[in-house]
Amino acid sequence: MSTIVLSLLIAGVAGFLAYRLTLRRVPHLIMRRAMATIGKAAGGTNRLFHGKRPTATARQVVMPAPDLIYSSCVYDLSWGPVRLQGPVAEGYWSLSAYAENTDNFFVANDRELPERRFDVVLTRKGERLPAEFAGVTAIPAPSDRGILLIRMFIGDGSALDHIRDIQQAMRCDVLPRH
Amino acid sequence: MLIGLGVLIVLAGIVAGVLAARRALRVGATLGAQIRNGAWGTSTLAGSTRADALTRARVAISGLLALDQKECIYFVAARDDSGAPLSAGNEYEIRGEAPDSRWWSITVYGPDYFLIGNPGHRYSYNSQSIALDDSGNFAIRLAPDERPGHWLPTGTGRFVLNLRLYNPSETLRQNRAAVALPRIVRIGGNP
Repeated sequence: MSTIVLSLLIAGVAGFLAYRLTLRRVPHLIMRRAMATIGKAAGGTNRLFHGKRPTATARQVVMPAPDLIYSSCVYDLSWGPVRLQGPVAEGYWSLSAYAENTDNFFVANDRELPERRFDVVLTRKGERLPAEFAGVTAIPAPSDRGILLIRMFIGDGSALDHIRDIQQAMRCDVLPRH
Repeated sequence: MLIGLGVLIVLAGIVAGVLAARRALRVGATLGAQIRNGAWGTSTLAGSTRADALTRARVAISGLLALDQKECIYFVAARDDSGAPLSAGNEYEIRGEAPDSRWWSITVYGPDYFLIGNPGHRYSYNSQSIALDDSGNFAIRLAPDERPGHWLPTGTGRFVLNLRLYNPSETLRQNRAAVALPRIVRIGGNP
C-alpha cells in the first residue's frame, strides 16, 4: 500500500512539474520557429529582413498587422554586440526587442526620437561598449538570441514609397567583442 | 508488480500535467485576456517582462511579438455582444466611436490567427483609412460577401477580431474595463 501512496505523491509532483515545464517551453519553441523563418528570409542571423504589406500569405508570425510594414532581424549576440541604425519614418514608427522567451524588453517609438534617427547596440548584460560608441544607446538583452522588430504605420497607403526608402537606409552590423 | 503499478501512476501524472497545460492554453487562449469589456478581452501582461508562464505561453500562441501595453493595447474578440462565437455564417456590424489613442485598427483573423484570404486583400480598417460620421462614430459590416460602405470579409468559419490601440491615452490605459469600445452586433444570419 505504501508503494501506491508514494507513487501517487510522486505522480502529483511530476504532473505539476510537467504542467509548469510545458508552459515554460511553449514560448521558446514558438519563438525559435519564428526566428528560423525570419532568419531564413533574411539570409541569416544579424541581418535585416524587410517585409512588404502583410497579406493572407504572411505566415511567419501569428496576427500580422496589415496596417504596418515590418522590418525584422534575428539577433545572435554570440557573434558580438549587434548594432542597428537608420532613419525613422514619418508617422508611427517603433523599434522593439524581444528575448528568446518572447518578452518585449525594449521599445522606443518615433515620438521618443525627435532627431528622426535611431542608433542602438544590443549587448549582453554587463557588457561594456568601447568609447567610440559613447553616443549610441546600449540595450542589454536578457538572452543571446531573439528578434528586433521595426513597425511602420501605413495609414491610408500613401506612405508606402517613403517606408520602402526608410527600409533600404537601415543597417544591421555585428561589432567586435572587446 | 507493485513497482510496475507505481511507475504507471507516475507516468499518468506526467501525462495529466501535460494535458492540463494544453487545456489551459486552449481555453480562452487569445492573448491571455484577463480584463473583459463587452465582447472584448485584453491582458495587462501581453508582451510584458512581468508576464507569468501561462500568459507568456498564451501570448506566444495567439499574439507572438506583442508590444508592451505602454506602446499598444490589444483588445481581442472571439464572440459578439450576445456572447455567441463569431462565425462567417452570420453577419455583424461593429459600431462605435474612435478610441482614444494615437492611432487604432480593427483586423479580422481566421481561427488560426492568420489573415483571411480574399481577392481584394481586405483585412482591416485603421483610423486613417476609415470614414467617421458627423458624430465621430464608425460602422463596419462583417460578412463573407461584399457589403456597401465599410466591409471586411469573414471567410467561411469562425473568426476573431483584434482592436489595436497604439499609444493609448493614459485614461484609456487606466480604464480598460470601462472605456467605450466598439459594439459587435449580429445583424443577420443563423440565430
